[in-house]
Amino acid sequence: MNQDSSNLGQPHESLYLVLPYLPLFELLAMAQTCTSLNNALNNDVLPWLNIVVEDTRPRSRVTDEILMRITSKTMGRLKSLVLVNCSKVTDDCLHNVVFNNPGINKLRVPQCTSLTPEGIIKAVTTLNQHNVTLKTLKINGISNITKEHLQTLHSLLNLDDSSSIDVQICPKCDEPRMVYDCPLETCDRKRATGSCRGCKFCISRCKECGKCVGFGDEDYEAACEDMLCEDCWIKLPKCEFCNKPYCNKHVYKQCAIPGSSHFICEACCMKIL
Amino acid sequence: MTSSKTIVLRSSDGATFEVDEAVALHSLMIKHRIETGGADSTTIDVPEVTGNTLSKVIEYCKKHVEAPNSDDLKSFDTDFVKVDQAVLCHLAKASYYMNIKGLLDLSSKTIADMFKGKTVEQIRETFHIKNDFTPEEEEELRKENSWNLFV
Repeated sequence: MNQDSSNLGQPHESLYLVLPYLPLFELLAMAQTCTSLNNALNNDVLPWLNIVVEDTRPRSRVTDEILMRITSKTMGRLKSLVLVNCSKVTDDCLHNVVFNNPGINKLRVPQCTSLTPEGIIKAVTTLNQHNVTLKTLKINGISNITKEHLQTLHSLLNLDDSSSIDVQICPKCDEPRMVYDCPLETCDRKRATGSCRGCKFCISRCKECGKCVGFGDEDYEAACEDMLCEDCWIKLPKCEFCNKPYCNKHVYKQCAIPGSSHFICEACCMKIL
Repeated sequence: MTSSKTIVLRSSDGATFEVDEAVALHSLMIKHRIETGGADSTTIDVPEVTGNTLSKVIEYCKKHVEAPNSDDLKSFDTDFVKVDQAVLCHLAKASYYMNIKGLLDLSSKTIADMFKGKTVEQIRETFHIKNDFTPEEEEELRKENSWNLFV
């Protein structure tokens, strides 16, 4: 394997091994690099068994037709389908894919805004008819999910420890939401009320570690207005003026101070200018 | 704690490495060779793998066999793949050949991450792939993939 870029040749054997680990757009790009990879991808089912599409460009590109074309390569053996932000994919298309690939055990469709809860129920029902193999279902971001939809899905899936849906009924507000458990064995809330399980509206959690915050203890607000627990607050670097940190997700908002490794937050930066 | 039995592994370029049998068995290929082996199953040839790569593979197996529950296993793995691309590719190939799933997953996922967001041309450059399509084939591909242009 040469480092000299003028010495191009056949792809190293390891690149064929990497194919099953590539998400869709990268797979399609690989198929266009040279004839041997193109042949490998067109003649082999293995790289297509787990399809992951993250359609996060400014405009969604994957339409129903394209998804059908791609899933036709799976020869009915698709094991997992992950569609993130594929806002053009419709219920009918999802149903067709599922109908043609009854062995799917993982279905994730977060932020696929053209899909409806009814469409998902129809797809899961179809999978059910071929022995329940579906272990994971993620539907956060699908609009208009109700308690009844969730109950239907629960009964279709025979959920246990090994299988799950990401959206659940919050035990506190009774709404279908993403529900989180406290990572601590015991916390103030558990000691006082017996459990620490709820959606983000009912129980505030540290953005970094997920520990519950705001129950009797002081809460620590980051410069980005996310909540932090005391331990994470202490560890993160802070604004030189107001001493608030940014959580790691919003680190890009730090305004660098020229000639120093410190920063000030956006709010303080605005005040100075 | 270490068993007294050791195995010698011999790479394609003749380098030999003496390892505990337990460590060697982390490779299912070696395990199979030993179990179906004959009289001399204390030296095993690994002709698909060079000495440099084999030494790294052994380092991985040692850590995963001797301290599988250690807290720093994850950071060991993260640091283990901070190597240059050629080494990574050799590791992936070796782990496939030697049937070491954990290492195959680790090295393949690391290489897969290097593809993120790259165009066809960038992939060719990074991995030294020659474009051997005919102009007609290229045109065909361009049409098929026109929906996927970077916008």
